[in-house]
Amino acid sequence: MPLANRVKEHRARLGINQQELGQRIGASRQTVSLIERGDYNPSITLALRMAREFGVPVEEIFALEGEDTHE
Amino acid sequence: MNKTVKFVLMMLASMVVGGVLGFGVIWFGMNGVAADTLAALENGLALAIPVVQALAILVCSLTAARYMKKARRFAAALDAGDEDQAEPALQAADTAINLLEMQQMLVMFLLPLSVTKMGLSLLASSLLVVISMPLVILNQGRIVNFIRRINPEKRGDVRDLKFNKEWYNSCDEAERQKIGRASYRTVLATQMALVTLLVVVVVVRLLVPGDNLAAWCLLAAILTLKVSFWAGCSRAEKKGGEAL
Repeated sequence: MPLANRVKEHRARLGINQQELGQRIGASRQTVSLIERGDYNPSITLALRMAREFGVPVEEIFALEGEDTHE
Repeated sequence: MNKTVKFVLMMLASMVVGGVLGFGVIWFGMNGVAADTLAALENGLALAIPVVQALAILVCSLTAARYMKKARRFAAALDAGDEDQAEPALQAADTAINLLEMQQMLVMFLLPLSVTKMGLSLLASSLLVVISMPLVILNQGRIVNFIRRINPEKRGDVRDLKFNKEWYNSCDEAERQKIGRASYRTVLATQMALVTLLVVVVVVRLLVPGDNLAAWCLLAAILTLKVSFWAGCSRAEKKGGEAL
């Protein structure tokens, strides 16, 4: 099932680029770009690392398509 | 269309193609046409192979260079802060690498066809292989360095025999998933091609005297493919999709 995400928003909030976020969570810039575009659903490990980096719960970054991410 | 009907039709079509190919070979062999036709074919190949090889080198190298120029343009925009340019830059670099692979394959695979009575053809063909190989390695090295500039986490040196392993091990989960899918499709396509060839070789062998070397070679290739795939699956289960 497709995932909606707010990765780009949170990344912009931190003021970092895809490369930097990738380095922090142990993924490539390409993968960050794929996730932001909704072309790749990250593993639980990667999603949790991302949530830790943004300092928010995973549900605030990812949600099933059609459901809102928690504000 | 019903899946069973589609499957039966595909099997029938494969049998017809295999049969036509097999009987075609036998017909050429039995009617004595082979001697004349083969002589003409051999002379034609002797002249054509080095020309085709030279053209392959020229066309593939120049097109790859054009793609790399395009990739560098995208990379410059990426350096200027436009993150959306990374994908097109990598795609253009991938195309350039694939073109160089194709060049090497064409030049290498055409070499055995130049083994004719005309010794000069083999000499020219071998010379072109010797020219093409360092060109491809050098350019692939440059492209890999370019990709590494965009993706600094990538490891591996094209001159290293363990390059593919190192490169894979430096890929993250999304890239490994992509490689896994592409590899599975490759296994299926290769298996289909090898089995089709085996059927043709067996049909020919049943009707024309000769040895079984071709069939044994194809069986060995099928066995290698199957065993390495099973071993790979079992290793991946144990390692949970980690390093190769």
